[in-house]
Amino acid sequence: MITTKNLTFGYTRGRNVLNDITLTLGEGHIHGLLGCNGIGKTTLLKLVCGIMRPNRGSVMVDGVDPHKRYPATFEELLIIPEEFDLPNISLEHYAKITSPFYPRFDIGQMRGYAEELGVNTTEKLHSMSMGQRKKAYIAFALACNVKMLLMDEPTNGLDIPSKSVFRRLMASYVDESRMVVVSTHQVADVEQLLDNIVILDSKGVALSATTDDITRRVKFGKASDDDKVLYSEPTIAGNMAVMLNDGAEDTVLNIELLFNAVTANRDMFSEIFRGR
Amino acid sequence: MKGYSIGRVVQYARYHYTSQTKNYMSLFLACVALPVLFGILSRDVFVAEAMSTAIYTFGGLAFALRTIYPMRQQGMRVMECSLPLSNEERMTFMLFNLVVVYPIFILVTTILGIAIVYPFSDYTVDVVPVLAEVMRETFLKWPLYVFVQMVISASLLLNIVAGRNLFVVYLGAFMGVVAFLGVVIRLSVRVLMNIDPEYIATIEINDTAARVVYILIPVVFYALSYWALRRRQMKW
Repeated sequence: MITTKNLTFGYTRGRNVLNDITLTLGEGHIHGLLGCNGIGKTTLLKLVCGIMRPNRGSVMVDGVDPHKRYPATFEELLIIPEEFDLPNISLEHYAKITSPFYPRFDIGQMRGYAEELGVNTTEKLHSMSMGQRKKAYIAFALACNVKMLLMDEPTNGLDIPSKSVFRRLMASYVDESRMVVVSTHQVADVEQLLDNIVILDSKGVALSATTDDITRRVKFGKASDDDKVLYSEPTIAGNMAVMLNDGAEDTVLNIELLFNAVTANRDMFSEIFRGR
Repeated sequence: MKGYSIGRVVQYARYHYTSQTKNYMSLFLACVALPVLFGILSRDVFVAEAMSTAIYTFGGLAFALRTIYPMRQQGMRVMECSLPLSNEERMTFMLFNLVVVYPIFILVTTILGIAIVYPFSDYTVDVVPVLAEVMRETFLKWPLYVFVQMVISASLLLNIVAGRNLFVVYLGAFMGVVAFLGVVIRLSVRVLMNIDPEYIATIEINDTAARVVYILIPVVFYALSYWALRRRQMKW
């Protein structure tokens, strides 16, 4: 479990990137970390990895401060950064030298994932395209079978077929004992995957709720006269709105619309989701 | 040292050398090429030997940089820093790389450089005495080894504490050392000019104490490096 309490962080004195972030990200979910550019999503992931220390507040990974760098903590935590560089060796060779750090790594699984993603495990990583390299690293990361998998813009650079394979692999990865945190702007790529949404803004956590909770409280679509509209925006198909879901109506979550609604009316949505 | 494992240090060494092979090879070639170049140009195997000694003394700056490079490099640092490896285990590897591997690395490059230059040398000396001289004058001389460790440990510390702009930090450190030496020399001259020469002759320097202080300098730098590594943040 990842918990942050009043987490505040800034790269320079007096200019905080993250303000008063209090969050609990538990196992059994795929958490979507959303926010505008520069709001601190990547920074939050780095803080979870213990690469940086909070200026104020705390971040805990399974009750342990990750900055202490206990190996037992990091055997259960793996990050796929947005930009990364791998050595110029094959994925097989990379797995051979890196997997001893991860006790539950399964080479058979990695080969299976690589095959599904269309990656040749014997090809040198530097001769692959950026997208191929990302898929190779995703295959390796999934085969590590860690409890907490952090992903920063995982679908950037993936082709269309790979995105659907990626979604399938992600959905099968998470169980009661594991979690995935996906930080992304490409919400359409992971919309059906996420079951907990965290929206960050400059004041902190604007929304943290499960998709079930969101769709129970608000609904998405074209508004009728009876609906209580919370937010609406024009689209090609007409005005799309976020409305109060008074009658517990079934609705399909529209993350992009929700995000725009929450960032435009933070306080109102805080009120709606308070005391859930 | 919760969960310290020497096995993990060995695993990390394997990971490090495999993923950094290209960088170490570039350094290796540079350490061979420079003595070879100067040796062949001067047609003197002893020039190559002297050049190798100079590289041994200051090449540690580059070797320390290589050791910590994955933690600083843009594309690797997040993955590198989130490996299941404690600060103590990482420091153990760094010490092994800088204290043990580096002298061996330079010894191999020196022998290789001398072997290449030897046929071009005008001197008709046997290669064995040359290598014996290298061993005696360079690798078996403990004050030189300690000085090399002083340079390396200081470089390691700078690499750990420096932010994005490493060059500025190196430049600042260099200026600091020059300024420090300047002040020490000026003060020494001033003090010596005001002391009776007969009194100076009576001063006995405690050799053991001087040696201990000398050896302690790299130890202190390594200890500071470990302290800095524990507190290190990738804040850029």
